[in-house]
Amino acid sequence: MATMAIYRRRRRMLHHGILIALQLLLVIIVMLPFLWMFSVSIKPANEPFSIPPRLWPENPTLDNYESALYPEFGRYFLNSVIVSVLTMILSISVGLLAAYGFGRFNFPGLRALLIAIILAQMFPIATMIIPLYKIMNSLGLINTYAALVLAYLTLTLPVSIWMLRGFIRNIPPDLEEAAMVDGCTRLQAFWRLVVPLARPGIAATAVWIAVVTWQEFLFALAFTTTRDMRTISVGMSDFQGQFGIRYGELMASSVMVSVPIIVLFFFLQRYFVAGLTAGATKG
Amino acid sequence: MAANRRIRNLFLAPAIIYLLFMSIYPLIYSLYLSTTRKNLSRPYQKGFIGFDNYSNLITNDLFRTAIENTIVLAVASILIELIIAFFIARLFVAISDVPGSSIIRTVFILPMMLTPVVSGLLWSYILSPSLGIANHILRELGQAPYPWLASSDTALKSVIMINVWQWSPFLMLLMLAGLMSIPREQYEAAAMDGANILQVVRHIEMPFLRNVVLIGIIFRVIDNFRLFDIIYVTTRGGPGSATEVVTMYAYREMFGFFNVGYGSAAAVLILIMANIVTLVLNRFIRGEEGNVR
Repeated sequence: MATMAIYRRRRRMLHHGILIALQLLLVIIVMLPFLWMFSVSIKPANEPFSIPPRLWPENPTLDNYESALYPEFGRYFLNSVIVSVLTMILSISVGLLAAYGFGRFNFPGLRALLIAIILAQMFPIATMIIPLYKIMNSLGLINTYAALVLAYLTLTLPVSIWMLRGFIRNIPPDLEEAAMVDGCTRLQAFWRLVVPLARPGIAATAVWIAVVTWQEFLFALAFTTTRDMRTISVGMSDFQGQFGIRYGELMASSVMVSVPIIVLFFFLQRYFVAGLTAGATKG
Repeated sequence: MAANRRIRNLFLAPAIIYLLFMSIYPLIYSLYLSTTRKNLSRPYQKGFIGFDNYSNLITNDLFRTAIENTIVLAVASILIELIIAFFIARLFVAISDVPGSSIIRTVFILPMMLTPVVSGLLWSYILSPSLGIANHILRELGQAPYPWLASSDTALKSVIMINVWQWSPFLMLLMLAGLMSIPREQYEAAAMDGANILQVVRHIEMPFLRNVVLIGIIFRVIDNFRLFDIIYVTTRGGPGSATEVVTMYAYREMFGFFNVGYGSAAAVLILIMANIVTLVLNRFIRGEEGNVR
């Protein structure tokens, strides 16, 4: 019996070894573009054009980072951070309230309303620009953070509601009911019990919002008119023209744009995965 | 009951009011625009023209190409993503008890976190016919260089490849979560019955994944119908009309030629396409969970 067990364990280990090797191979394939991005970003100015291309620079340098870090880059970066954080705060507070409303109360038309919210999401961003521009213009918001935040909310709020609703439906309603019997109002029960328990959902939604707002391009292009209001993704597409084909700087700024979101994701990924599936399975 | 309804409305009001003004109203306004000949460079040219924009679109060759490309892009990308995602998710389940597998998982998700503008720029450099590393590797392997984004025969395939690289992780995450929620006993029971791997996939994993995958597909269809940034940065719809998609077409009409009426009609057609697909897929989801709800 003992030898059987050892044999079986060996077979399992071998099996695992093959699977892990396969997985690592896939990781390398997926990572190649990133490695290339990084490698080009530390190449001295003439190397990106060497034929044949070199996989790794002979004389690695940080020059590209230095020249990519001109003042506008910092400004674009700051703009993106401000807009992302403001969108996150608004989207989550409004989204939580609505998610609670949709998750805890049953009423005729609930499903239709939920579907309508998602359908509105399907409109191509390019088409939303003209009507939204009209609205922002009449409110005098063009070229402000407010315009971007309000526009981004149209992208983030519907999905926030969906994701948070999935989490809230996982929280047993008995707690709130007990609290309300003890004299809490619905709003107090919501604030003191549901919000703290929904924290993983809030974290998941926050990551998702950060990714979306950090990536967004068209609204940022349309609703900002001066350079100092641009966000990082619009700034990046600018680099394409500005640096011509100076790939070193281009890749250095790509690295700097990508790092914050990757770091954020790295720390919050387990919430994100949970959020995605809670929203998806509790439809 | 009445008090309850008031409370409920209080919770829902901020979101509903916001979405009415910023999502529903723009949508209705676009529907209205799509029935006019409005052009921003000719401010006095207005006027209701009914469905003329739509009939002009449907008879326009470039728009037809754009529709075709959009469908090819969406279908091919999603199919390939599903296969890759399932394969990778399955591998992760198999090694889930190995330490360090969560770090590998994080690495897999990285492409999804990359800003599409950045991934477009990165890939156009990688795929550049003469300077690009992709062709260099092909040459080293003794293969002929591939034209990638530069030729009308291969550009759409290249865009699909970039798209798949960036978004397979999304479906992979969903499938992984779905697979992880399968109770161990089911696998054990199947092993007792001597089921082979294909039978396990077919009879245990597929049914479990069904809803999650359908929802993932809905998200991906919507995303692919709206895909813009990557194409804008890499090809702008070219060479020729090889990667022209509906969003690119609508964008060019609206912001290149200021034909907002006509461009809105193109966008409304995408919305209709996305709606049809979503409603069809959504039926399958409900059929599955009908008894639960």
